[in-house]
Amino acid sequence: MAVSRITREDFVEQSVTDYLRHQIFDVRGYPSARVELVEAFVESRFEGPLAKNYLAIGFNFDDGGRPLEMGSNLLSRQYTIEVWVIGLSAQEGRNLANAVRDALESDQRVPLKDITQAGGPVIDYLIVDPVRTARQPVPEPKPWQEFLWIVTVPVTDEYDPSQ
Amino acid sequence: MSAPDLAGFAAAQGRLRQTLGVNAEFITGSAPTWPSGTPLDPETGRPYDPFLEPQVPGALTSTVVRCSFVSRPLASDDPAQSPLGAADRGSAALILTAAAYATVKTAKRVIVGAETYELQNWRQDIVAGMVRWIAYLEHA
Repeated sequence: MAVSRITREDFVEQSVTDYLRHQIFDVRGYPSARVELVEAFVESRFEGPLAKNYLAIGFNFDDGGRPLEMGSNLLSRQYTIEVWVIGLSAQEGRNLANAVRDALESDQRVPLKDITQAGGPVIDYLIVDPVRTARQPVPEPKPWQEFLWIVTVPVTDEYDPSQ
Repeated sequence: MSAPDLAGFAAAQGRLRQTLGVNAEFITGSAPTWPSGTPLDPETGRPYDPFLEPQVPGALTSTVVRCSFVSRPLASDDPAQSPLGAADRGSAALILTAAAYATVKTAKRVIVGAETYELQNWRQDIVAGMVRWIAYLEHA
């Protein structure tokens, strides 16, 4: 890969976000009037009562990578992506959290797009490991924390960092 | 010893309600209609898909009832349990006749003056054979 300020991690983040957006709104038909996908958020955005359900996708950490094959530069790196599901109700929040899990597990892979090229051609695939969903009980919750789930999505990227 | 004037007591209750009571607007929603064949959760009576739009949305109806109104603006927790002192818990209650209760018992919200409350609970109250119903409210 040519040296660039747009890193492979940016490819991973945008590819997963685009894939999730397509799966939730285009494939499963969730109404955009009631569900919104945001990339990272500041808490002040959710002050007061919520107007809709939110999926806030955060790319938090990776495992540092490990060599994949002796004699080559191939590396396997697992990214842990957390999708925060901020629900208007327990029913909607739980449904959305499980839909996020289903969307990412259904094909067990996510197309990796080269976002530096026009049209974002698919250059590889990320492997999706089993996805975990958990409701987050919050003592004395703020309105946005009342129906909160975190969907933890491990995706693995196998690539040669020298290229 | 003369018998208590129960009828007079009931009439006095009615006059008190008319004079010092409030016109409470009870909001009742009718059940929406879902597309044919929609699987419904037997526990809630609503579709499993919480994002499904109803074919015919539930309509809201408003019924105004004259009630006695009590509010408890400030309440404190036991200081041994919580450091939170006196605070507005938004609690209130309406007292209405049994006949009025029959017309609004399925309501979920009540508007009293400029305030909207969620209807939390109904309790029956019987005084000297006179049946009243108490609606416990919390700020919406």
